[in-house]
Amino acid sequence: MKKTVILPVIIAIVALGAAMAVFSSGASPYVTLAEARKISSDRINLGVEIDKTTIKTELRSNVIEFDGKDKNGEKVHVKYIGDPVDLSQAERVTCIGKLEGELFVTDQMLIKCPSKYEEEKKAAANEGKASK
Amino acid sequence: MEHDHGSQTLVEAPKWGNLLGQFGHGAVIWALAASICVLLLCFTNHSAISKLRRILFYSVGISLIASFVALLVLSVKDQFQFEYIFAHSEHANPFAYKLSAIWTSQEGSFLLWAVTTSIWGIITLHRSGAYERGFTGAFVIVLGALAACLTFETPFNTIKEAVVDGKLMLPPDGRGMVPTLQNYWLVIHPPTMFLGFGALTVPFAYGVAAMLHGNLTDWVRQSRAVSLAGMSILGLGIVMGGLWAYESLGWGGFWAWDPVENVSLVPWLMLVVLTHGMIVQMARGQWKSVNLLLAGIPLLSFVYGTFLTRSGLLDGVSVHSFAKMDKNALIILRSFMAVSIFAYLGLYAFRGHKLVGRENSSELQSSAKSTKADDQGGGTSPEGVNRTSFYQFGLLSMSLLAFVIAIGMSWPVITVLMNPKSQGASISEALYHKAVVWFFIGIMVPMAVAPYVSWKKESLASISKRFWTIFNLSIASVGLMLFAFKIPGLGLMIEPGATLNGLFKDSKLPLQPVMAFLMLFCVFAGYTNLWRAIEIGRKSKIGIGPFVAHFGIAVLMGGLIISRGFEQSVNFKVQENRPESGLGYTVSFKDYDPDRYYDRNNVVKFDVKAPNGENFEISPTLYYYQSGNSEKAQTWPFIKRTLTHDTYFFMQAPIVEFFEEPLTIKPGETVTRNNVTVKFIRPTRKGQPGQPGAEFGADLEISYDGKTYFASPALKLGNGSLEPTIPKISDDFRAVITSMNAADKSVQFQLLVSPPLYPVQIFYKPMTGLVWLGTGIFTLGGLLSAFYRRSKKMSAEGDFTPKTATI
Repeated sequence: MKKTVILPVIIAIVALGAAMAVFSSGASPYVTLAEARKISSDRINLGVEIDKTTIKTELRSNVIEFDGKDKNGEKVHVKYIGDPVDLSQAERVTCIGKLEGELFVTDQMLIKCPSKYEEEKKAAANEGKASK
Repeated sequence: MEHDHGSQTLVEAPKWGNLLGQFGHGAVIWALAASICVLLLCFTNHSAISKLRRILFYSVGISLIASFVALLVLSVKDQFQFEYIFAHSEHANPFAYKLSAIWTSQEGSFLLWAVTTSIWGIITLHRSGAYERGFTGAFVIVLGALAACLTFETPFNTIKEAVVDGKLMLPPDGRGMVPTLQNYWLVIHPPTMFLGFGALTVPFAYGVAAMLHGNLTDWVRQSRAVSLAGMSILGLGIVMGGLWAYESLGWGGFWAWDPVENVSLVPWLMLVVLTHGMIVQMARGQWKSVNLLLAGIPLLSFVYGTFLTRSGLLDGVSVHSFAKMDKNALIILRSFMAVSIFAYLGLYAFRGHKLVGRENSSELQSSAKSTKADDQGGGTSPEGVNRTSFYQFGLLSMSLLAFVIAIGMSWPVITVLMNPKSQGASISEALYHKAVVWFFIGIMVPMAVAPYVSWKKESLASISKRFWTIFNLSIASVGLMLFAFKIPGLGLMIEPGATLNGLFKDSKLPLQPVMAFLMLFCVFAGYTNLWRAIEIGRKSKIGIGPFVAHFGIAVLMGGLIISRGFEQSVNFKVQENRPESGLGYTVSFKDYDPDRYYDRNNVVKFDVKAPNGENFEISPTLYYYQSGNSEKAQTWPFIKRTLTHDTYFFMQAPIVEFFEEPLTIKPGETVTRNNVTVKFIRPTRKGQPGQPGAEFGADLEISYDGKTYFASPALKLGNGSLEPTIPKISDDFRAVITSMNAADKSVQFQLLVSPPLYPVQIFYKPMTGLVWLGTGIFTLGGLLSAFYRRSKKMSAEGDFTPKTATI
């Protein structure tokens, strides 16, 4: 092969290899509590179904605590310290953080609202019925 | 709910509307049928049939456009009997949002893609000359696949439930658009994006045609202007998306490496690689093989990305909510993706690649006696580098960047495929930065240096003499910029001792040197390209476009890096008479008009004292709207812009209800929640039941922070309805009973935070103005390049009008 081909191929392999190494070493896995106990990563994604009656908010700071259940129904206590979030519409959240004993500490929560489109379709159907 | 509209007499949906909807759907079916005919007619080369094929091709494009116009008219004329319009529009929407309602959801955005692709097809077909058969065939496969998806993913479905006694009734109003989407950016950002995405089909179709017809040279000249225009428009569209996110979403950034963002970035990067590969081919006659491969990749990567985001595979990874596609439409999209990728790569491997080899060897024979060295890009000395080397390095970096991003966005799917038992893993923003920074350097260096390198080979030392002064000037400028951050009064600041996460776990890097390093690449590339633009602009305007575009990119990247890298943020909760401070800003509540609760223009006013002593008022928007059975709040961030920095205020809906859900308590019970203990001492009653003025309530004991308060909230019978009394119990709270159960005498109890708490987040973002400035310059440069490289009409024999555009 020509020299002009070999060099780029080597660069490409090295660069892609390095990028893959970065991704695979640092990616945040989506886990259940049982799996979270087995790994030492400090950035894991834990999907939690919130028990709304347990939400505790500090009045003047952004600390929120609540109980919830993971995908398998196992109970977890979550402590969130971070940017202000509004949990009033949230049923499920993806908490990104780490497990410390029985406490899941997170500084980032992705709120999964029921899909907007689905919600609207249902609402549309209801309205359609109401129109009768 | 059942009798909400009882007083309104429903009218029958207008006949013209129903007919127009049927026409819109029919036009899509026609487009599909005509696409198949066109494809079949591509197999013959009879001149009469060519004419028919051309007419049919135009009819495909025009009917898709007509279908879009039909949807537009239905939306503007409030034809809510159609599910799609009902779900995304309403009477009160201004014209702009009735327009944007068309592309707020999947069906409409597919239609928009089909329309923009049609427009580019109609513009380019008559210039395709000798490539016409292959070009038409490849193009119509894309249009046909989109039309096939649209026959299932149709926006023209009427509401089944709205049929009464066999008649289609017109719902009185639509559901309206999701408030976050009610923004001027959503009116212009999606059409701009899709105009760019539509252009991707042109180089794809030319790539296929070039391989089928065996002419590997002229297609570049033919498709170059469209590729450049597509690159500029798509680039502008992507940045617009970032600006929308910045102005609307409240996380204070432009780019979050979200799957939806990445899906648009990858095709754009590959389009940039293609347009630059074309330059090398046109200037040097090299890279014919690579360019054939590159021609298809922008479209194919976009189709893959569309599949990835629309298929529901990434559900749970992104903050976007991805509606799943119609099952049949998804099957079509998946088949189209698989067929187009395999067919294109197969065509390249078994035909394109060989054609290049054959052409090269025949060229070598014919020019054996002529200056062979020049053909190979060699100059006076065979050692050293030339401009092609820099193109090669820069474009290799960019392709790898695109590939890494494509892997990153597919990571959740890849990890599940590798371990089906797991739920996959995602890539965070910080991780993307670690992975892509190397490619950024690999792109910026050639972009800065290439303008000073000729096509003839030279030693690096002799090349570097030409930009050595500019390089030193860049270092000095970065130093000056960092120094400017230390000058009080400019409004610039750096968090002392700030660090970044290093490459390795738990390692830290000091912020300032890293930022200086990254800024240097932007400044250097900016200076060299600006200098070349001025130098060349004096001689002729034709060559100025690329340098202007590169200067714009350098400015844009600089803005993104500085505004994100030196970003600082703080959050707190502001209450009436309780100002709060952070980052040197003091925020005090000023005013809110509760009578304009549902008014979309209602704002909350705060007085702000900035670190430089300046006082100003901010007014983030806050209003409430009804969604299903609940009430939701919508807020818009407030951005205070100055020349040197933005101060970005994001306010969330005020906290009024202290418990997420009201407490249910029976007489005698004690409930502790959220560090507050509530004891229901006894039920209370005043007046005669059934008489106006009668009150039913509860004596409560409420304890928190070591203090105990008493309250007797009640429900008072007014004119036929129960109104709560809302007694004040402390400086923090009022008490309210929301409902009571006559059977067990339990009450639903809520504590109201009074006065309300406003959660405020402040982002300090320096030099965001560069993002806007860079975008403008980049787009201008790209369009200038496209304008001066308009394709010349090619005759069917493959001849061009004599003078063709220069590089």
